[in-house]
Amino acid sequence: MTEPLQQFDWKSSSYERPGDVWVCGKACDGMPCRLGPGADGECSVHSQCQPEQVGDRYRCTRSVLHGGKCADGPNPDGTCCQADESCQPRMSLLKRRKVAGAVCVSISLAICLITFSDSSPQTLLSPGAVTSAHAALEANCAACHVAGEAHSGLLSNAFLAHDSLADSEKCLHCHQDIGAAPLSPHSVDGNALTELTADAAANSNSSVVSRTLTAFIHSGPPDQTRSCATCHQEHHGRSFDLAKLSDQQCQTCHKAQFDDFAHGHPEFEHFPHATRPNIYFDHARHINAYFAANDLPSHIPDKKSLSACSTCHKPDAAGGMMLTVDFQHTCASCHESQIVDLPFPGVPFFAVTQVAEQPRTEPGEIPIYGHWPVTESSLREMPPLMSLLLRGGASGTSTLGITPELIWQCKQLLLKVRNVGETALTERLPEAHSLLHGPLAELGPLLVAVSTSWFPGLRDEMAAHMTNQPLPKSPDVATPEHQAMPPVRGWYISDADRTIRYRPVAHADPVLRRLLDYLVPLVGSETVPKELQELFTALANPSGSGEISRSGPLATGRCLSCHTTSTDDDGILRVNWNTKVPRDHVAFTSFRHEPHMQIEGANLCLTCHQILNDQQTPEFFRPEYFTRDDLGRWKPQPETSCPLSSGFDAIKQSHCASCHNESTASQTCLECHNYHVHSP
Amino acid sequence: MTNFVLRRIIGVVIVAVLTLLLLVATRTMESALLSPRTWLGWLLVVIVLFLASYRVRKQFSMLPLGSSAGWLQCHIYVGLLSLPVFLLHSGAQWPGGLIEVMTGLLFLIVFCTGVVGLILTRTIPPRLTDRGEEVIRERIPVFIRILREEAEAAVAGAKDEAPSEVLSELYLRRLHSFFQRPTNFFSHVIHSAKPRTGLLSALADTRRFLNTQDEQTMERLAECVRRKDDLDYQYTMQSLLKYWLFLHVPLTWAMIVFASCHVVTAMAYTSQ
Repeated sequence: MTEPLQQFDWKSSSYERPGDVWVCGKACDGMPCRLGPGADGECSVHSQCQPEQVGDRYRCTRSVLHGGKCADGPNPDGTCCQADESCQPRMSLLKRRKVAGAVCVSISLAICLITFSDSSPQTLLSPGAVTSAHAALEANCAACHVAGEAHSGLLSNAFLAHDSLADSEKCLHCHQDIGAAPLSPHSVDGNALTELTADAAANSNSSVVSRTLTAFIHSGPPDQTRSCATCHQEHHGRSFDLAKLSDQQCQTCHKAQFDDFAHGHPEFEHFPHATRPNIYFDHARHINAYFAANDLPSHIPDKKSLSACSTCHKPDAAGGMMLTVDFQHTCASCHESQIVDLPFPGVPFFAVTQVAEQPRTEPGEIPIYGHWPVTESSLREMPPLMSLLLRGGASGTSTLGITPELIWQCKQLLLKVRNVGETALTERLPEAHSLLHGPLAELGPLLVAVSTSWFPGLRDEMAAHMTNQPLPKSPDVATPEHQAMPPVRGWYISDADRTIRYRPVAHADPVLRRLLDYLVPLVGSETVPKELQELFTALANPSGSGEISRSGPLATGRCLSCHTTSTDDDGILRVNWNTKVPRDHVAFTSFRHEPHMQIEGANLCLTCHQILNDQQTPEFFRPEYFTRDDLGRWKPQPETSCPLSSGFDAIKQSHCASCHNESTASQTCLECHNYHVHSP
Repeated sequence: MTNFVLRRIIGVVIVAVLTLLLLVATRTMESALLSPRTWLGWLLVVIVLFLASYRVRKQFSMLPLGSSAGWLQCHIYVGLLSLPVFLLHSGAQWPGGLIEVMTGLLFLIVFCTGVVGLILTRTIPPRLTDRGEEVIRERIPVFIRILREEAEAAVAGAKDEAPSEVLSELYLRRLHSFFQRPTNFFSHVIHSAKPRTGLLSALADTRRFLNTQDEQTMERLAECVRRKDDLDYQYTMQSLLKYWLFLHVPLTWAMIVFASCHVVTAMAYTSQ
């Protein structure tokens, strides 16, 4: 058996110190000295001594530790006779590792300092490529980050004065089209969002556990501003989808939580009829009653089939909304004649009305109000505008017939119009300047005409009245036999009943349109004279007759029978003259019709838009967007209380879920909803 | 089941459970529009500092900071946990900037060297006991010298005998350099016996030229070769146990430097 190389007895086994910084330089040769190097890396072996001179001789001074005195003693010249056996100690493994660590740290620090120097390209700090849309900004950190403006304040930016919203402000320098409150959730004002959140929480059917967990995770108030990077996280590569948002992320804030669209999504409420459509159109009645005999081709241009919704509706350029084809290609064949309505006399604006209190006069005696050429057909009530003009804008009490005082006012007005033109009208009613110089601009010349034909001695009569002289006898004005209203469109003078009237020219009649544009915003105002309310009645009352306060078939032009009214962003009531127009804003819910129309086998439009039957329709179709209050004044109805559904049942969530479900994997929130809700 | 195996299973299970919890927490925070990467980054900072403090624990062994074995176990399993934390933090996406690239690269190198070290420290010790004499690495040069002297003495022969020319030539040609220092490092790393077999074959091939006495000398030489080769194996294996730290430890400090810059940069530039 071979002798073991390693001995562990105390004599032959020295204590190894691998933690020492230095090791003997001869260790690698297998001949390390027992002392080993010192802590400073100096060899401890001193084989040579420094001989001591004693008289003329030299004496060895080597210690016992280094081998004791040599037998030969020092050389004659006083040097030691022993060879120098010291070594060059080497660094231990531990020391070498420390040196390697120091070198690595030094190199790392150097790289970091170079990277953070202002002369280095900023892309060295980029944690990853930005999306292709932002690629042009990649080399300029300061374009998106406040910290990128100067590296000198990096530490301060990191831990002391960091403001994440400051970076978002930089985003908004370019992205200016995401609403007035872009950093609020959904770009909705904080107060409005708080109200919406409260409503949603009240109606939430989420479990208590779910809501508690949500509140725990997401403790911020609903109106808290969020930085853009909360959702849009950059530096994830050129093709990264910055707008991607998971359903779970949506539901973090939303109180009504559910598994997916097919399971638990809240049922639609009157969608898409939550807001009033621009055109009131009873689809059910038209399809079920008017077109039931399948005679639509005889009415509709191009002779299209009844079932083709595309006869009247076309998608917009983006394929999102279904727009309505213009009037001439849809409704005109049936309804244009109703708009002109030739059998209807038209709206009176001036009339020689019956006298209210006819004073007793002897035959041949001139009445106190002078010549007043009434006929048997003359109106008993003054037209509203005439009443306002005669009273100088002041509202008067409704009486049957005209008083003598107002007759003289009327004659004075006619004379002044004859003398100075229509400025006489605006002098009496300056607040209606836009009306009198706009849609009623032709009224002045017509008044001049009737002042001549119906009041031939007006100038002399007025002069006598003003000087309290006896009234002269006016030339006779022929009283026409009973005759029908002339079948003319637009302004005309009716000698039969001594009126100046207006009858619509065609669809989109400019006079009626401008009159309604003037009147509709005033409706409901407490300060509006009742005469203007009455004029509105004549033009707008869906159940009116064109005659003041008289029920009849329809109002003049029947504009508001189809065109609804809505309150605009400024809170002013406007008539919706246009049909549905492409949205100019991003709404919370979006729907693109065109892709859905490509589905094979579906009954296309009627799959989702289910027409209500007659028993279901009345609640929806009464156009009660104006009602009278206790004083008989017209009041606009808010849209929410009179939404109008155009004869369709509200779309049910189950319709959509039949396709948008787990199997099609197309039921994410962003399929139908936009995050940033905003106007341009 | 031994305590060691049980401990290893428990440790791995704990790491797996913590990884799962971190994954769930990350997904939950992402859903909540919070910033899990920021929190994971800070968690990673804490983990790295904890792992690096193992060195401090060894430096100040006089302080009552717990047993080194306990620290090592924590170092191993927390180190394993650091990889999923790193992947969750980075989103398993390779960064683009120099600072981030260096931080990520160094982290992965340090992690991999740590795993390599773990494997080495778990596989080499049993092999060391299986082959040759267990010796202290620092003493191996001494033992090599002893074997060298023994081999040279054998080749030189007795005082009154002439040395075998065949063995002398073989020693000078093949064995002299072999006995000078530890050799065949990479062959031992891959556990190749080729160098050893080659030398022993060369010695055996001289048998036909040797007389009985020289044959005994050749056998002594062969024994010296075997023992020297075993020493080389011990040297190689023990060196591996030390050399992996030359990557693991220095690169850890470099990683901490880059990670510090990354933290400052990320916190300054975060827009969330």
